[in-house]
Amino acid sequence: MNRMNTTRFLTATAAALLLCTQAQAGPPDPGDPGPLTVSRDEYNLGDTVFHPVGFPGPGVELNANVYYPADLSQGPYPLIIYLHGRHATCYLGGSAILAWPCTGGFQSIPSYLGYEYMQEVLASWGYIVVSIGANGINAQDNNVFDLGAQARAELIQKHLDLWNDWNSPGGAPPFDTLFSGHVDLQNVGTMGHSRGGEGVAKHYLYNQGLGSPYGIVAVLPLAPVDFNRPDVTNVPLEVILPYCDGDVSDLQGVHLVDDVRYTPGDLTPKHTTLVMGANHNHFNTIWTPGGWPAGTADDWLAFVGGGSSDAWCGTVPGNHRLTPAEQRGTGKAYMNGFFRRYIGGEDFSGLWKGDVPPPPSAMTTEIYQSYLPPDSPGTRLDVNRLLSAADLSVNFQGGAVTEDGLNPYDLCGGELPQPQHCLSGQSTARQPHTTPSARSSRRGLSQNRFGWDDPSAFLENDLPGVDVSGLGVLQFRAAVNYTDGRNAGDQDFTVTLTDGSGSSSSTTISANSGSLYFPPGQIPSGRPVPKIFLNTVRLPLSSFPMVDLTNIQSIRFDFNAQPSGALLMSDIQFAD
Amino acid sequence: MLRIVSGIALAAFAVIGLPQAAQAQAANGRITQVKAVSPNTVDVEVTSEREFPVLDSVVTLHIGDKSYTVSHSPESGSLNTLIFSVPASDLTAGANSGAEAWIDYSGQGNGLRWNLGKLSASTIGKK
Repeated sequence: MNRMNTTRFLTATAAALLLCTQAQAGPPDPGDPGPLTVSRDEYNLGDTVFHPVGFPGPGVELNANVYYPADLSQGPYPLIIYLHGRHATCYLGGSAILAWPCTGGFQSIPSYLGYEYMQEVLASWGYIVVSIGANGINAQDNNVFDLGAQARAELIQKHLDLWNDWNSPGGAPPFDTLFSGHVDLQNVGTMGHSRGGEGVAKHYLYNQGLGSPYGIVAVLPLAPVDFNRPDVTNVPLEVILPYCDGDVSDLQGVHLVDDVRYTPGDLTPKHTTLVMGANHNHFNTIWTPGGWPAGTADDWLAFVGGGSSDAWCGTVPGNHRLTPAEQRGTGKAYMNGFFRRYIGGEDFSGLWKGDVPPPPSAMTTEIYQSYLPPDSPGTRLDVNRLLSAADLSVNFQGGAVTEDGLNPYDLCGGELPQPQHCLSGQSTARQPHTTPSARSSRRGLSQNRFGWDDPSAFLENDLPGVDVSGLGVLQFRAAVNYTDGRNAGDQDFTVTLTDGSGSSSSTTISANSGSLYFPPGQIPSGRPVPKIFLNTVRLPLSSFPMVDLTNIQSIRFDFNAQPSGALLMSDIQFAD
Repeated sequence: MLRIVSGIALAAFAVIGLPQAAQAQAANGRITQVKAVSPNTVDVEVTSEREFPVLDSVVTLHIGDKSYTVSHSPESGSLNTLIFSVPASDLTAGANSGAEAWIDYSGQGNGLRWNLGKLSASTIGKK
């Protein structure tokens, strides 16, 4: 049983300067370091000491890298678990292999050390942040049907059991009483990368199935797989997706949000964060070229045929790739910020709804944040869920749906008899919302597919005089159909609200949102980009000043900003 | 019962030393062993000079229009070899029909592919 300890000091002066700068420059930046001095520790209880039920192989390691406030007396502090994804496990010189435990001179590749850049910052805000090792699962998970999801869930739960012991009055080795009484196990957040992303989803359900001994209050899958389609409900959920992912390049993790967005009575928010220049691996420093002697890759360049020549994700002049440091900036901002928002209760001025630009720490502005509100009258009023053919003529509020000049005008991607995919002749990697899952036959996101050839075309949802005065925006999710030649570039249209007295007020998409961009990437190639990804478009109700928000009678989309076009749309709603 | 075979004469495409981008192009691999592990299931061992990267997406063996995603590495952990679990009847049917076999990472559209050629009785060790 091993333990290593170091203490790192974010100096009080630096922290004070930082807080001062924040106060002068605007809203707090979730990626900035906090005021607390942090310590670092590792524990390693052995390479093969844990045995997930029915999982093959000699056993799984119980080790982790821990960052925590050096002064634990101000706790108890929330616990955050990070779980890395699938990667080579052992190395010798420049060679990597997939085996466990490492023998014959091979040493372990410490994927669990790859998130220190986030751990240290989050700990400085008063969190105990634990990044656990899962090489023993990676070495065997393709040999079990669920591809390791349950084993990962059990591994997380085992670590929480250990922390429960360390939190007890008597403590336990190797920490003895260091953490006794200082860990808040009813405020636990989980972040999993890639297969670890499905792992944290599965773990949420596993812990629930055990009677919720631990309070899992925020779940964040990062570039996740979603092979088994677990439904994570009743907990704040954020899925971060890298547009230039060269591994899980179909961005199948978007299903984690799409599948649960209309769970009745779910009072928690769901988010997606699309990072336009990010790849899969650079969120983990150990997986990043130069970060470890073996097993590293820039996944877009290494695994995508012709990827280097792509205008957006490739290396040609003018590309939009993020450097590893920039990509980790988005990690610090949006992952740490998510836990600070939903565990720490910090607001961040609408960042999680996409109402403000990415903070400076994100190091890019090319991020699209989507928000699906809780199922509560104070946060959401559904106008049209666009789930079945009936929704094309009667909406969720019982109002008529009318259109003119739209062709096609149908639904795709959802349950039968809808076609499985919305774009014919395009790879599923370009259609994340409907991409299939390895261990589930579940369908994807139902989308309204339509286009127009004339700027007189419109789509209108009548409403029975709804009161939305307690809500803040009209929103929907949409994407520009890049396969339809009627789109010459970014899209735009006019939205008009009309009230019971006949008063109307209008705004345009472009005045409020950049989400209707033409998906970037080189269309003729067989690459995973461009992609159809439905981002949330939010129109503040303050943009409709001339209408009575207590009595809205219709929402009309006039497709008059461009001569022609084609969109995919879902989830029309009023929201907070 | 199937027997072990090796040395199928399919040329492998060496990519060692090529730039990263070039590694994403199709390569060749070969079936080096077929081993019965139960009355109905065989382990199909595939080897390539180009490593099969350890990815989060699912490495998949295709035989004609069927695909197989349960696999494991050899004890050595070598990334040049994968062992897939395949129903024996599917493998035999694939060999009888001369089905094309290949490996990719399922659904990713990223172009990673290892061609194994057309199956035959000799490639699966039945002759």
